[in-house]
Amino acid sequence: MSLLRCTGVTKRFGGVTALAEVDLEVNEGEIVGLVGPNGSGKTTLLSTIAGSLPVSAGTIEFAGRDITRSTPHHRAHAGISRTFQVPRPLPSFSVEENVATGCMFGRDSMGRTAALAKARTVLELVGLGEHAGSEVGKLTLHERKFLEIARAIALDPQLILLDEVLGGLNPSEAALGMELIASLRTRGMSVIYIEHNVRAVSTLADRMYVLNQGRNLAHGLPADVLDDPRVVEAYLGGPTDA
Amino acid sequence: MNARIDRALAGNVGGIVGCAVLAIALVPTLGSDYVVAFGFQFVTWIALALSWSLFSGNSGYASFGHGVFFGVGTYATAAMLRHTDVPFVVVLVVAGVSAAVLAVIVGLAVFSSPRFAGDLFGLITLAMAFIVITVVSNLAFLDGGTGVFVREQAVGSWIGSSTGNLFIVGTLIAAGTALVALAASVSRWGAALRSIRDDEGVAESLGVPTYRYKVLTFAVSAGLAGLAGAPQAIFLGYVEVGAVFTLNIPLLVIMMTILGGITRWWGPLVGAASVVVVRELLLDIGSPELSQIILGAVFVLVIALLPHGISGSLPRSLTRRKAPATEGAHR
Repeated sequence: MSLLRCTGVTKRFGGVTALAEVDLEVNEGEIVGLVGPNGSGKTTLLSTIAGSLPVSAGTIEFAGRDITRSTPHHRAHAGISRTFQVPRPLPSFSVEENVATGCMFGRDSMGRTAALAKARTVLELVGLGEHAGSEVGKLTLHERKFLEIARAIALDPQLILLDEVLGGLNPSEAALGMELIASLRTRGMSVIYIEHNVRAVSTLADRMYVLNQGRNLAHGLPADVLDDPRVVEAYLGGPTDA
Repeated sequence: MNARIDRALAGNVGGIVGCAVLAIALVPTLGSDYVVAFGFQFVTWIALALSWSLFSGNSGYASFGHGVFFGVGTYATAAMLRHTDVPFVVVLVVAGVSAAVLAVIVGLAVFSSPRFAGDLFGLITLAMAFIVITVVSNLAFLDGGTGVFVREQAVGSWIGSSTGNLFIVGTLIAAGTALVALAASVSRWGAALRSIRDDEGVAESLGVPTYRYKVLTFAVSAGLAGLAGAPQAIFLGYVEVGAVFTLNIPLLVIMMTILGGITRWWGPLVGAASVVVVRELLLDIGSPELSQIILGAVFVLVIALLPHGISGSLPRSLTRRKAPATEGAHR
């Protein structure tokens, strides 16, 4: 069953068209990979789904409701949460307070004490349990990336938008991250997963979308999409070097 | 953990209520006229600093309009005393609500667009001051440009009969403001405001209804300032635009908050107490210019040495034990 449906989503910044009539659909329980070269509009599309960027044209439906004009916090309450490509922890909050804020204001709003308790279980889940009381400034890049995931999980979303959460991680950290992403599905979440590393996406994703210059280039099963000559052309700059 | 938070909270509430009760019991009966008058100004500044910080300290939106809300409370009181016969409690409510309504109107407009965030918000609140001054100066039932004598209007009532009674009202307002500030610091409300200060985009993505929190807290902050302005009308006796809507109020309140720090709810309280006491001590020098310079120099020095203010420079373990004790400054 369709959870998210973007139809003809267009985003213009002045004269620049960042997204041109992009269609994307996510079914319940699905992990959808979103790939494309730099500047192809992946993060812009994510921001229009999360609501932080208003669309210039097109519609976005979530769980059967039109959310095209909803504010970001309404979408968070409806069940959409996101991470940021460059981690944006709340700097004056501790690690657990960052996560607790998501618990407090997410889909099930709760009081501060309950939120802190829930935050600790979420931090255990992503392997940051021992850092619960730390200042965010003391975290490494990999820990900051995982804090982004923890905070997004804390909202108890139906759809989680992950923006290059594995970028810049070493292979063992990335492997942990992939396990974590795979586990989100078993927790009842659907995932849109932006990644530069096409191989990581193709192992995790049920289906893939490829964007190029703000347009849909291809979508389908990972194996089919990766074999599509247009994708090879756009993504790798030529038919050689697979 | 939970029990420890509850005990710390109970200690804070007890500290606020205890200090207020002590102050009300002792100051008007034992203090000289001078001490009571000083005490009234002291508690008024505490209410102003705590109410300013409630919105601006927590959210990071520095308002220069706090003097306007205070002044609206003062003028609403002057007008009510002049034109009506209602009890002072009603006057208080009207003073607070008038200021809050003005803040809602300004807030709904100014927070509707992210373009007005940051420095522009400060400028807009400053512009609001000039608009309100013009309006008050030209409306005869408020002022009309001549100033308003309030003392005669209030002389027959309980509130106008002694400075001690003004002190009692001022202390209750300051204590109420402290309880609101405390409530914000331990609840979702404060977490929402601080997340707005840290990163408003992230706050929204985490489900924080930032617009609603900003408008409502701006209104509560303004309403408390309006309340604090009500007894001020009677204390001054003669109300005029130039003296009531002075830019000194937002500037001093900002200074008090920075000095006291915003990492603890009682930071602005300590900051206000310090500034008021230092200003009073500097009066003995006999030169207002020199005391202004000294106050400014002390301020610069403290900021350089304690970037997080007085409250933010104490280690956490110390502040936990110290917090209730520091409210002794309330008297």
